[in-house]
Amino acid sequence: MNSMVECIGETSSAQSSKNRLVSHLPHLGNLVLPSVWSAKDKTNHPIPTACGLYYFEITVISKGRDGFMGVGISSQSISLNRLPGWDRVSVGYHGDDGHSFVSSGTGQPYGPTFTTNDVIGCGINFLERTCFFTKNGINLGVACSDIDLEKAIYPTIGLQTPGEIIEANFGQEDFVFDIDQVICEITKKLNQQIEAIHRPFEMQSTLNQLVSSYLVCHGHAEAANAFAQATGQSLGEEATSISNRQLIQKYVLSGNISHAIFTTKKLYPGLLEKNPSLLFQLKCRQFVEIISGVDSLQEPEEIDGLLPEARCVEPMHTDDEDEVIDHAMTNGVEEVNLKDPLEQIITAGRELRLLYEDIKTSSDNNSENEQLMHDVFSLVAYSDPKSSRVSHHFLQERREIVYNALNGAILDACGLQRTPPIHILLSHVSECLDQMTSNGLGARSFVQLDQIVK
Amino acid sequence: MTVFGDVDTLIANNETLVIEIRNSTNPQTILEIIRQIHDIITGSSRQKSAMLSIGIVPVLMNHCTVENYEVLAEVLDVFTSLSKGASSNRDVLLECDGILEFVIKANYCENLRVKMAALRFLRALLHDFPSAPDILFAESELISHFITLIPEHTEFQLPILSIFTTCCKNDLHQNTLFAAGVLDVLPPLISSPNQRIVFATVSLFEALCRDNLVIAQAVSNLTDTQGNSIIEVIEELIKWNKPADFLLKICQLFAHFVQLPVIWDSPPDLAFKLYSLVIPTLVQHCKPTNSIEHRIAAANSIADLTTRQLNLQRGAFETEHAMSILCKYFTISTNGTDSQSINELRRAGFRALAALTENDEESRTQLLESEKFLTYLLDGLNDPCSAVSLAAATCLHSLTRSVTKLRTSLYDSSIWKQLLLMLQMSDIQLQCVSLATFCNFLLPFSPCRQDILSENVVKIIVEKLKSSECREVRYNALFSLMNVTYQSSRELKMHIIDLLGIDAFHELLSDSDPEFIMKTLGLLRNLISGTKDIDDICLKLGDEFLLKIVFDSTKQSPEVTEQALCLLANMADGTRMNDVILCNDQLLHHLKDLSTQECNKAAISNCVTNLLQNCEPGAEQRKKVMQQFDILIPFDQCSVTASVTSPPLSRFD
Repeated sequence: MNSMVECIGETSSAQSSKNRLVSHLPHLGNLVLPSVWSAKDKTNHPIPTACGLYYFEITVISKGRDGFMGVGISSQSISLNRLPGWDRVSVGYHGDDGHSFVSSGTGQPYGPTFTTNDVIGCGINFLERTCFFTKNGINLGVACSDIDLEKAIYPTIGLQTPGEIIEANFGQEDFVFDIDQVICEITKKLNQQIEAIHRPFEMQSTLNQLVSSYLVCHGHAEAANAFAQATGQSLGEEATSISNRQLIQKYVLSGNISHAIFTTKKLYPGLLEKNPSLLFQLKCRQFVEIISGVDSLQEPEEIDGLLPEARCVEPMHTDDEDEVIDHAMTNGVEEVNLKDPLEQIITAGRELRLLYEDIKTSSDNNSENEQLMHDVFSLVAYSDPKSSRVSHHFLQERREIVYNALNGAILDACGLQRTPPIHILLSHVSECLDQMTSNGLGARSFVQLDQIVK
Repeated sequence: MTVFGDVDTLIANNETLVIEIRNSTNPQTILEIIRQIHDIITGSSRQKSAMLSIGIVPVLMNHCTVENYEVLAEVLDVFTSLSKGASSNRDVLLECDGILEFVIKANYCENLRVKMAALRFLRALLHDFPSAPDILFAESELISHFITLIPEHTEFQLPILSIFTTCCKNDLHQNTLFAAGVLDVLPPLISSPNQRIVFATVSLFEALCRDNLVIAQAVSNLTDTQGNSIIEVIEELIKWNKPADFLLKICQLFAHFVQLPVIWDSPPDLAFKLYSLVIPTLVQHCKPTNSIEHRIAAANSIADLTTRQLNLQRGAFETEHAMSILCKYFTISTNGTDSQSINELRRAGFRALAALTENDEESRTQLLESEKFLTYLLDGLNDPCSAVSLAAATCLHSLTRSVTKLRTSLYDSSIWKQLLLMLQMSDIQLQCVSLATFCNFLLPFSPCRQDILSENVVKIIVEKLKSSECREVRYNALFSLMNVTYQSSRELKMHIIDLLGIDAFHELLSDSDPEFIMKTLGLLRNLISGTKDIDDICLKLGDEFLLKIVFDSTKQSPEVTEQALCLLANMADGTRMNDVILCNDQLLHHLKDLSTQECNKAAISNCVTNLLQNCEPGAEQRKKVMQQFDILIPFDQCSVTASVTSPPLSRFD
């Protein structure tokens, strides 16, 4: 990373080299360092409060004549001829006496003095609004406990006598101080705070409902039943209805789309007719599954839960792809022989094309549909579709997408919630965290939603 | 069957079960009844007591004679459950005949389920049980058996580690486990994915290394499966988002490692980690936001880690203003906290502060300047709980090691008065620490000295020296007397000799410990000082007696010989004594012999200079006498110079 430095102090100079920022000050002056490095933006940037915890270190290369050096933070309005800590809204730790200065010309005994070869760090905890310093990897303790966050603050290093040289590390190299421990500690504290929040409602039953609705929504009939019995609550949906959805789920997730469509039509008449886009998705999926050799166009005769199990999800081998295609091209028969896989692919493709034309006028997401159709049609052009550009259609996730759409439509039709409340909750939390980020609330940095959900 | 109800109903209901099980011969029925019993007692302390009172244990043990593993495992589970709950339950269980033999035998069973159940039962039986070590260490074969079980199955690891940790209380236990090879099986466990096993392993390491440098050294030589040093692996485990108990246990372990050369020699990283990771972790857990138990453990570990470690004391002092964090240990409100915890907290606070101020002047200054600390210290010394007052006295001792503090804050506070009271208490340790502290308070530059002496402290110290049964107390009393006599007045010296009596010197000088002899000679040196007083004091002590001391002591180790020669040099400074010595041919011969040994050269030279009294009349005569005995006159003494009195001894510690 190449760091750009612009020095505000007229009498100070700053040199920057790769991974190394050295400031050598021949005369009196202050150096305000940018906190966010950017090759395009050469101005000084304040510390983003949303980072939660900010830390940087300097190494004193030379203490110069008298070692009157100060490390700390300050707002933009400070005088650049003075050490950090002396002016309003600034905090500094000075090397000559080891005192800390908090917006005052009078320092307080704070820590040891520092000099050549010492590594001094400055950290700001935006959650507690505290500032601390470190020396050679040891946290010297809180120097200021109520930083004014109304104003933007900048990391600042003040050098006062000739010959003072420092090298700054904004994270491009490992810090001497173990900042990870502080992060761990803040995260732990934050979690404890969250745990300690008084909840105005009874938590257990709410959690039970969340789990139950999730199980119902995703058609885990047996689990939902057992859970409902154990926790003594109602399911909110007939057990048979859940079983039906579960059956459809089983078909879709195992690639048996023909059975899924047939079952859906029987159990929820009119559903697919009302949702042509959904039917289109199902048909596209069916086309893929036929190519995989999992599905066929043969419609089942019975649906009373005793339908044959779906076959394994292995796609068919297409060693003799060329021959098959030749055959298809020369043959061009109208009579469909449903036992021939190739015939099935052609028939299914034609049906799909017709359906696309049908819904073209009524559907909103035409371009998407067209893209999807082209993608699945192009599968036939590859000798080994599984290693082709569009091979992702064979992934299990694609079945899940189709299943979620179908399941949602069924739940909608039954007047049930399409999305389980727990998903809505997650979205709310996620949005809440985004809002925290945009409002500069540092606590957000210590919450990893993905990890919690995991 | 109802779980709740009065005890009589419980017993009545349970008795029917016992009768059923007695009368039954069908293994399946027996198993079902045992399971029923298990269900009944689970989670109910009353049911457990009721079951025990009707004598369920022997009945169940009887049913385990057949090799029915399922029944055996189930019975062991029932016993495990019975031993939990009320603490009296375990006692009742242990009183049952053959229960120990039963569980030990079950531990050797081939069946996995039985083995696990037996381990769980033994763990429950021994948990927090004062005589647990006696039970385990009576079975040396069982220990070896457990050690072989550890690598066999992860399910065995937690209970065995827990049993070993519970039972490892002193060096005998530690060495037995060590000799049985427990260290060989522990390294792989430290990298276990199960955090509870990692914690249990660290806990066992801690129990094994506590005050045992040999085992600590052996642990430091261990490596994990990847060849990494076990100390480094353990240090890597310190992550502040882990539970406090876990982190504190690791830090405790490091307090046992701190004296090992490996920490300070080979990889410099380890020493750095003590500053940058272990101490910060401890200071972190000293903060008031932590539970009292954790604060106690953290401060005690700081004390253990930094005592006698100058660099670490400095590092800990600088970490997050540890001093002010520790001072908060004395401001805790008594509301809702039991007094024992508060006492332990204050004790830990004083212990940690005593360690931090042991050598560092700046930390002493900062501590004494911190608001109200002297009040806390006085309260601590005054505390009826001897553990607290002892820790406070240790802290005071650290503070008195500073000349400036003795002359300023400590003088102003008259804190020594409290110390005087402690000196007269019966607690041996309190006497020990207060005597050590008086050593410093009684030094000539201490302005308290006169005030303390006017309280007749010398009499008390002499009493301790003459009559205490504890060697440490006698040693510290001797040391204090040595400091009292340093540059003291003739009257005080005479008074001390009167109080002690010649016999006491005899007794002290015939002690087997050369340290006692050295300090007694030091005391005599301080008594026989000040040119004008020397002759009178020697007369009081007896010339012959003193010469004999010199004669005898110079036949001992070089250190003792040196002290005796210094004493002789002091004696030679008295006009009359000078003649007495020069008339003693035997002694002069002996001096000549001694002067041939290189190590005595400086001390002999002092003696000769003082014997010569170059600037006094008759120096030529004295020179001749010495030359008769072939005693070399130092070159610089051939002309006129002042006499040299070997410097008096005092301890400032």
